[in-house]
Amino acid sequence: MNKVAVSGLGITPFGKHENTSLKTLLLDACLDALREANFPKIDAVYIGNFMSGSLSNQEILGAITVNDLGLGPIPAVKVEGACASGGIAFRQAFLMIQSGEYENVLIAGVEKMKHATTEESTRAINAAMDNDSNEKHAGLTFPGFFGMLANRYFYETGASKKHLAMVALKNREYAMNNPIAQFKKTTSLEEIMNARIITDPLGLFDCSPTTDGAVAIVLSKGEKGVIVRASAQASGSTQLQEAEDILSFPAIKESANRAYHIAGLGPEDIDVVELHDCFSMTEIIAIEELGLFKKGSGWQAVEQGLTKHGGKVPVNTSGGLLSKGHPIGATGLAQIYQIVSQLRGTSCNQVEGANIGLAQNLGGTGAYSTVHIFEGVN
Amino acid sequence: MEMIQVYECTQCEKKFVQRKWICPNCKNNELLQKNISGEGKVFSHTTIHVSSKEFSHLTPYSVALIELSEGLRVTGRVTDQVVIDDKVKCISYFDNTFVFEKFV
Repeated sequence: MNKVAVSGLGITPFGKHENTSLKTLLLDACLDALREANFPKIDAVYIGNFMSGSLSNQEILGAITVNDLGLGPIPAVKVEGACASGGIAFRQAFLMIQSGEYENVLIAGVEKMKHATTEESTRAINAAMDNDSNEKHAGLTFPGFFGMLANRYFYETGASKKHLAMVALKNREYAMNNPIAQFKKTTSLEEIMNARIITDPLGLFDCSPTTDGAVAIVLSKGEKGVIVRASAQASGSTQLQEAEDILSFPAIKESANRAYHIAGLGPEDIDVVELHDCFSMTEIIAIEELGLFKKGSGWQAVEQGLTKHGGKVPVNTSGGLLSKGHPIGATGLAQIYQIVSQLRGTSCNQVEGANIGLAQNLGGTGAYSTVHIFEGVN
Repeated sequence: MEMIQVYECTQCEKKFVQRKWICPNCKNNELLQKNISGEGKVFSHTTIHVSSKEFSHLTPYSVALIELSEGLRVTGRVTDQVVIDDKVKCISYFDNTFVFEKFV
């Protein structure tokens, strides 16, 4: 099987792009990635996107990318897996190079959300839940799902709203050094804890924002630079009422275990992590499910500063979804962008000597998860 | 009190609130509808202040995950603020929505 390396990266600023279209964001990021890769002959295109249809009435993003970048009559596809669209797109491209079908593949993720009202975007995001169910009809929202998780987690472990706030604060402090991040304003535990409630106990700072932005990556057959050591994906429950343990995301655990197995590595070997902090609560569960900390102890790890520089393993050095921003279909690739930058030694919030990095991307309320492990090879 | 309609696997008797086409437990593909008691207790809950258009006229409203006395869990709306372990019963089922209320 072929080895696969990252040969190009591109990213737009995250935030509000009032006068830039979805297409322009997408193609700007692609051009940057292609330029860095020195314009190799691209064999296929994979696009990660979740809501271009519902919020912008735009599909065929694959063909548009191929046409407007002059890539010739090559195959292209859009991949949808809610917030894991980017991670799944990346995995499909990786597998095709690993198997020998392609040599160079362009992967891009894009989302444009800021032009929609909160009610419209909440409705569109709710498409990531099983809407043909009594759970949806009860009025459970996407954030509401994670609010329920948080209340149960507090009950079982002794954690409190302060620990959620500590996650949000850490990620904000990292975002302040990331030039493309959506939120770079200083904040405090107090401000975070007193912010308006979205769904109890989650306040505004506990929830990732809506974001416009795009990321592109070129993957190539190769053994040098930053290589993909493992790619894994798993599915999990699509409804809260069907989860055996609501404080667990089996999709995260399963995808992580498969990735560790493929790479021949364990959680203790990982130098830097980007994970799916769609809500502050999700970050605490994810550090447990990735095996970085014991189940039920993630909140203590946060309290002791073990998930930042000087601790055990820095998590979300990009600022995470919470403060870097969360352009849904681009998020999985933005996480990989950060890990690759860390392993190249060119990142914001650089982790000294980082050699092995992990990116975990979640879709829906635990419905999909991908885990990718990378290594810097000289 | 309203009963809760569930799907029960004819082979392993595992119950599901939502229909399953194949039983994830034993792979049997025959499941039959059955009514069970709508009594249970709150497993978790949240009060939603921001919602989508179809529910925004109800905000703030509370949704809870109820552990029914028969063991399985169901998500429903609750009429009052609740805390974990509160006893509740189902008082209505309309438009695919279960509504629960506290009782002592």
